[in-house]
Amino acid sequence: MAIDLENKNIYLPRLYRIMEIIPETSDIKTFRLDLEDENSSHLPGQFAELFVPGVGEAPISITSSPTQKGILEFSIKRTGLVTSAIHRLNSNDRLGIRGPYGNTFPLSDLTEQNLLFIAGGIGLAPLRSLINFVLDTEKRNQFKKVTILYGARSPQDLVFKWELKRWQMRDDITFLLTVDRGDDQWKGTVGLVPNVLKENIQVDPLEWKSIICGPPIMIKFTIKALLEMGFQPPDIITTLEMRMKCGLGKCGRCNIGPYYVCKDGPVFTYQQLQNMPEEY
Amino acid sequence: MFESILIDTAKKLLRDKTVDLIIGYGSTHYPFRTEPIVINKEDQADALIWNPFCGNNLARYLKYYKNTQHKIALMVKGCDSRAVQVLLKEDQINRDRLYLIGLSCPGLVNREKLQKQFPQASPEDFQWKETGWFFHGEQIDPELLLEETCLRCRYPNPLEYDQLIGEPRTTSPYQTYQKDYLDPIDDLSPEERWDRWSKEMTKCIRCYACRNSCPLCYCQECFAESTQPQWVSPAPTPSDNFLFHLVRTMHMAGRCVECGACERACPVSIPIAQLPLKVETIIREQFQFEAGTDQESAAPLLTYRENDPGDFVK
Amino acid sequence: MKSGKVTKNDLVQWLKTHQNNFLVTEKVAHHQPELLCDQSKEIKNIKEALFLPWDKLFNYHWENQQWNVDNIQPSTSPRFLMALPCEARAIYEVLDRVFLQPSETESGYAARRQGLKMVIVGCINPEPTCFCHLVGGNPYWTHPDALFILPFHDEYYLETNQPEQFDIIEQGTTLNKSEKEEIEVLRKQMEEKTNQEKLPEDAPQGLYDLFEDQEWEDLSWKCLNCGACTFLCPTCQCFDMSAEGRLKGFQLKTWDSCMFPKFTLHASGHNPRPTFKERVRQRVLHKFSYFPLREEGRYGCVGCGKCIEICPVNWNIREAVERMVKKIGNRS
Ligand SMILES: Cc1cc2nc3c(=O)[nH]c(=O)nc-3n(C[C@H](O)[C@H](O)[C@H](O)COP(=O)(O)OP(=O)(O)OC[C@H]3O[C@@H](n4cnc5c(N)ncnc54)[C@H](O)[C@@H]3O)c2cc1C
Ligand code: SF4
Ligand code: SF4
Ligand code: SF4
Ligand code: SF4
Ligand code: SF4
Ligand code: FES
Repeated sequence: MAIDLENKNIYLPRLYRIMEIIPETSDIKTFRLDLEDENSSHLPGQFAELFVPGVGEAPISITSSPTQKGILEFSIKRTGLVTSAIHRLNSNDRLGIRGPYGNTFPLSDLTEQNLLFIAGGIGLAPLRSLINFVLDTEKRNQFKKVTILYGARSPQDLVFKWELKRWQMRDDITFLLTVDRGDDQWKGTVGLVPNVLKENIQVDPLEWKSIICGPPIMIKFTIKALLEMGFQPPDIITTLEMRMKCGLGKCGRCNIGPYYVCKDGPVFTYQQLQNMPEEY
Repeated sequence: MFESILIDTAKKLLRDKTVDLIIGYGSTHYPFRTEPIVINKEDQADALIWNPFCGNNLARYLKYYKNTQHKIALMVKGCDSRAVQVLLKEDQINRDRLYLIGLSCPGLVNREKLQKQFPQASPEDFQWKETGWFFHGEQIDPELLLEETCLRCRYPNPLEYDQLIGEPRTTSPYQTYQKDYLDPIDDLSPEERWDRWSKEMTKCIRCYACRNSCPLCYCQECFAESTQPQWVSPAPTPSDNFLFHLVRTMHMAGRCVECGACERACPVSIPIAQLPLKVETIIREQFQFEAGTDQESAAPLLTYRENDPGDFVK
Repeated sequence: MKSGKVTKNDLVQWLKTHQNNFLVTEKVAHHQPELLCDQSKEIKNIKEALFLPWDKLFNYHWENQQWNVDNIQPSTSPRFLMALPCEARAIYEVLDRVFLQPSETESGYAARRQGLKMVIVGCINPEPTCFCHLVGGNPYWTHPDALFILPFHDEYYLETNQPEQFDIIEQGTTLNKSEKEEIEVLRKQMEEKTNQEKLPEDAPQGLYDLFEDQEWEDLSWKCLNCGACTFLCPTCQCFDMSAEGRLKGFQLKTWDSCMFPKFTLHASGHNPRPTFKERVRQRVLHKFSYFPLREEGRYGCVGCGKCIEICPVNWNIREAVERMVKKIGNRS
């Protein structure tokens, strides 16, 4: 193997200023970073490693669409060491980023198609990048019908409420919102995502592609529901989560069989998953 | 002879359904090496062996059965039986679920010493008798062969068992040889000791084989791997290695049964048992307490007495 | 290819002139102690020369009310490294393929690798634990970029494609015809042994197909899930990254192991490899299935036997693989 000494330090993050922090739920915040004059080179579905000096790194999906110029957005749930430290940051603090990493949603397979997005909880974050890409004025006509089904445990657990409103107001998409348990104010649908899917969405499964993300259990039952509806495994697309460190297929922890989720994923079709061991 | 008794015992235990499984030792493809095995069928019992290379402390495996219903037979040497007693005291397993196959132990043979003394020898060259080891009929000085941790052993007979394989030994290796590899270290000056341990600590790669071989390191999450808070850096620097080993030693204080399994596990040959062993020596002298010698008395570091003279605090 | 032979004395003299930057693996030191010099540095494991047990990836500090990160320029210093063929294969066939991937080259590894001059010592004393011939190696395996040396009739046979790097080769006298033939024959024998005994061509896929097999449960029972085997394995590549120091510090890279339960534990508490079975299976399959499936059939194990030698419970990767490979046969 040839040795390339000109290579840059692949682990070195770049620091970007936090422009805005948007509280989403009790434990989720969205961070908007200022790329100054740059535009992000990522494509929907990719993620980045976020670095808090003195604390560490965490892999987080890029939730902004590349069509949003000059910014990057991440929606982060407070779970452990690094995500808690990110939650403690303030506007104008600097956050380290390296990436983008991983594959992308198969954009060429999705163009000229009807798209059914199904998300649960924070799982909307990676899909939002693609949704806003598809809904961008310049891109919208490259895709056909768009339906979005989004669910959360309770009304308080819905993320991107500001974004949901925008989507609800659009007349070129169908938008469905559901919660597992409602409250006094909740006037919308109540029910688990897979059930709402089967009861409320009538589409010709052979004419649609479905893109799903959410907690593992939700993904599992949603795939089951889609298959029952007649969707074909190659038309069900999802993104996986594994414990990751390097994002580059080197540190060795995110593999499922011979595939590194950080490099060959995180986006896989259900057909691909069927041929992989169930070790995720 | 011992092995045939052992195998018969094992078969009977499984046949009569006295136990569901037996954790014992089996042989490997390599000379002078054994492995832990688990069996649950009568015809598997022939695989069981007992010889002075059975170095693992099998009490280690009890932690995996903590939440099962299995009745387990376990092969225990003197030190292993002490480990079981500590586990019983610490409520890690129930005595009714255990059947202890006691082994009166002549001391384990250290493979490195053996290879040094008899570089080309194969197992057939040796005979093991009640009185010790013989090389082509000639008795070998045990000091030249035994593990250092075994030369200082005071309890070669299991202190708790349901059946004993072999006659109880009347003297312990320590009574016979009066040898403790900690003694020469005590004679070093603090600076020399510091140098010695600093050197050992540069060798440690923090593989945790020592911890994972120890029957009494059963924490769900070891402090060494906790990130919130982080007590010790994952970098295997001498100072972090020191920290890991010293904290582990303190967690073992009054609990270590002096089996030496940790030391035998170390892939880079650090005499790591010396740390917990030293602490046990102090505890024996200061508190007249030895871990695992009974199932009742509370460990000194878990007890508080108003009239404690406290003269070890200077 | 330039070859020749030198006296033992000449070789030792040459080693001595370079002894201040000579690394020698423990295996070589054990097999051929006559090649050791006072100053040569012994390393436990060949990967320590390139993939350090711990390493600094970059620095960071808090200054002027904000965070700053600073790159660390890796340094290249020429060094000799003397190793056995199996160990050398770990670098050429495995670690290079991970850390020198085009466009994702790890600069620290690359810098150290650039300065490395490899001396491969033909293995004359295979141990009962080693099995390089099963995984494509052999005791005389060498790489054109390295200097190959082999004890030969009280002298040493030398061979390299890089005479400028290894000037000792200029001192060598050429082999006569029968000596050349002798070397050829020795080589042939070794290569034939490899060809006869190596794992079947379909082993990587066959083992992958056995992912769900019950046998893994049985195989993994005694393993203690420590890191001894993977840390001392010359090919194990896995690492962790964490920040060291609060307001001023560095991003730390340390060896990590798929045998540790925390290796794959998600922040949610979910663990895709929750028990011994999954972790042991990962170690075996990574080396004997996943790596070869990704890397043109090359095994991620070089058969050095180190892991077998040091395992506290004598867990034996070779036995495990052979047991599973037999199952592939039985099935078809
Ligand atoms: C491709 C990808 C995209 C992702 N995108 C997003 C995203 O957009 N938004 C988002 O919020 N998250 C996302 N995640 C998840 C996110 O990476 C993890 O939540 C994050 O890495 C947690 O890191 P941490 O340092 O906060 O937690 P850590 O401090 O690393 O905590 C995790 C560790 O703490 C311990 N631990 C924590 N919780 C438990 C528990 N319940 N039981 C036992 N041990 C525990 C474990 O040792 C665990 O390894 C993504 C992950 C991947 C792989
Ligand atoms: S610390 Fe070592 S000697 Fe003490 S009980 Fe544990 S393994 Fe045995
Ligand atoms: S077994 Fe040895 S090398 Fe491994 S952590 Fe313990 S002392 Fe260190
Ligand atoms: S195989 Fe041996 S060395 Fe490796 S983790 Fe298991 S017990 Fe430790
Ligand atoms: S797995 Fe074992 S035999 Fe194979 S390269 Fe690693 S240490 Fe050597
Ligand atoms: S996954 Fe396991 S076997 Fe493979 S390189 Fe990493 S530590 Fe070694
Ligand atoms: S995150 Fe390191 S290999 Fe995938």
